[in-house]
Amino acid sequence: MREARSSWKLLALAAILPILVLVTINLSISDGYHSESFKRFGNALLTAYVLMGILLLGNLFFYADSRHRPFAPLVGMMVAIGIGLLVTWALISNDDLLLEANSGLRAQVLSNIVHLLVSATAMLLAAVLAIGATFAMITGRKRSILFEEEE
Amino acid sequence: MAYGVHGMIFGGNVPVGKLDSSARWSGTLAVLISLTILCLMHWYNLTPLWRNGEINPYWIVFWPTFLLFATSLCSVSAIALVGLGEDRLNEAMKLSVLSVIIAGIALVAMLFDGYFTTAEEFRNALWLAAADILGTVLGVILAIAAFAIVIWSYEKSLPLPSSSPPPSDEEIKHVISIADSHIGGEEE
Repeated sequence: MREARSSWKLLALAAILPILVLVTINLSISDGYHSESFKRFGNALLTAYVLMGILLLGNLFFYADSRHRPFAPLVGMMVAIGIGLLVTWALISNDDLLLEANSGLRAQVLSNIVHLLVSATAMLLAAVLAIGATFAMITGRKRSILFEEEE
Repeated sequence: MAYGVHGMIFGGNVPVGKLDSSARWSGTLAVLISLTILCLMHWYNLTPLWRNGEINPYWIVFWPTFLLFATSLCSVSAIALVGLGEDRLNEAMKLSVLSVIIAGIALVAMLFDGYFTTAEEFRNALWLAAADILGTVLGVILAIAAFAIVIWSYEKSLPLPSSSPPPSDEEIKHVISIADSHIGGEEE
């Protein structure tokens, strides 16, 4: 159990470390961090949370049907809204989330969704490359014979 | 890239759907060409343009996000191969090299101007891409956690299934007689 936990920590570190290294180099080259970074972080977090929440809410309807818990989607919606409000309050109390290029809240919502689609496409393509390369490495090795009967 | 990845995987040693061994090399070439095209879209005039000849704003969102996420995922895959697999050090090293190459592309873009994009613009976009990736991943984890709490609380509140009474002596005798009739066998 301890080994499994440490391997998860190692994987999380492996995921964060390359990004941290690049960002640190960026910080050392540039004058400072980008002023809109926090706004973009907040907007990305809330947009991903809402869209993923809608997707999971649909799954909760199937759960409610299969486990005979008709109020599960309603409870799920309440919990999701509660957590969403808390996160939004925490983010807004830190800084304004409206990006300057957008004229209003509706423009910001639309811009966030389109932005997330572009980011998600980039992440999907990166996943295709990384997972594909991993499987290509695995299948690239010559077939090892485990038992004599295999020959 | 998808064609190349398919060829690279199924050109190797797979039990089903194996392609010709040349598919592995043509696949590798296709992936390299696709990465080169992406680089040319930054450093040559293949950059997608918007209205009035301006650079497409979504390209400058896509490109750093792709580079950051790819280098991160390749690094995770390399560690996963070593940690979870057996005798996979060689493959993990190759994946680490791929991760470093992609990080190197990002580094070069941070230092040298592109055809339409300056190094400073790319550095700003890299900041925002890092914020985007972090925000998106945290948002998805938070949504999963919120709904997991609901399902966990419902599952926890379910009553335990009532256990059935132990078998009676009669039932045990019946089971023994059935087992005896199957285990004993008969001499030919």
